[in-house]
Amino acid sequence: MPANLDELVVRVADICTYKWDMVGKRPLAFLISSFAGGAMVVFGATLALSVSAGVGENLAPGLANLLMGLVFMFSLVIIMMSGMTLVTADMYIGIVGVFHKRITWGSFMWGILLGYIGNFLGSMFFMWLIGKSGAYAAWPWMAKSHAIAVAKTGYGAIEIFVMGIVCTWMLQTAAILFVKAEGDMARIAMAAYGPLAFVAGMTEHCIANIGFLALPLFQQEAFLEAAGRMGLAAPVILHWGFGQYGWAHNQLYTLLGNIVGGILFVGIPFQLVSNPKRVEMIYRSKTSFMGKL
Amino acid sequence: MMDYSPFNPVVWGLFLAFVVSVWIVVRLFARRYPGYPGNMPDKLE
Repeated sequence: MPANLDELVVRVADICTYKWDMVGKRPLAFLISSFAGGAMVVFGATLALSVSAGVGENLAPGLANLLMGLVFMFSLVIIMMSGMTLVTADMYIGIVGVFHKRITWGSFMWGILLGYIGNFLGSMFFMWLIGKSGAYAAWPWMAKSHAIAVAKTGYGAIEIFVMGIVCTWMLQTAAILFVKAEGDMARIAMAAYGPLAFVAGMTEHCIANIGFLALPLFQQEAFLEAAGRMGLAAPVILHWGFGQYGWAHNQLYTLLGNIVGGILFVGIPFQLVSNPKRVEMIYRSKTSFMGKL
Repeated sequence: MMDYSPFNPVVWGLFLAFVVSVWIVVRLFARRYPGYPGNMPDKLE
């Protein structure tokens, strides 16, 4: 039987204690776990690019999104099953831990910052490797990755912020139901739903976007050269900074939206819907306060 | 073009409101259930 809501928030608080114990006592291990988690997210971004390049919009406008979501969905499965760290999944865990007095506000923010740094390094490093490989330097993949980046960095601040909220609302709902589920198959199904929903739903995820936007930037020179050879008129020039078509512009507002979505629409509702009296009864018989994913 | 500025006032205003409201919700919860969750070891972190 899957856990009920009261058992669920206690499980999440136990996971919080385990994770933040690592943050406090073994920060390097936590950083490595975040590095691995970040790379695992962009495994999905790479696969999504691989299968969606060249899929014509006249075939069906949402088909490329569906294909991307279907191959991306195993990213969260491998992160959760391996117990590695994804900062956007830790946001709901941390806020439940704050309610349960497992961690302070300060350590919550420190854990999120360290998780983000590790995820950033992992996803950026993996995409740098892919950029160096040249495997995605053929026209259909360069054109698709450039088109994705132009769309994502071309949105205004409010649009990115809103789609960032929607992203972690979907993703962390799946992540918390992963904790609720019993058995590997049920857990895999729950974890798979999150990335499928947020990628097919065209939302904005800070770690996935690091990869989605870094690859076309790493390959921009080759793209412009190929576009020139094909006689394409003035393609959009991407850049790393703030402003339209900038990597940092998308990253900033995606991150802010992701923080709001996971905490306000997943962590807090689950905590407030659980019954405090029943949770206290569960605590009365508890002897262990740590739980792994 | 405020839409592409890193200091978009609408987004930062909403984010600030979010931070304050989360802090208030946690404080109100702790006041409503002062012993919550109970039976905790003294030092977990």
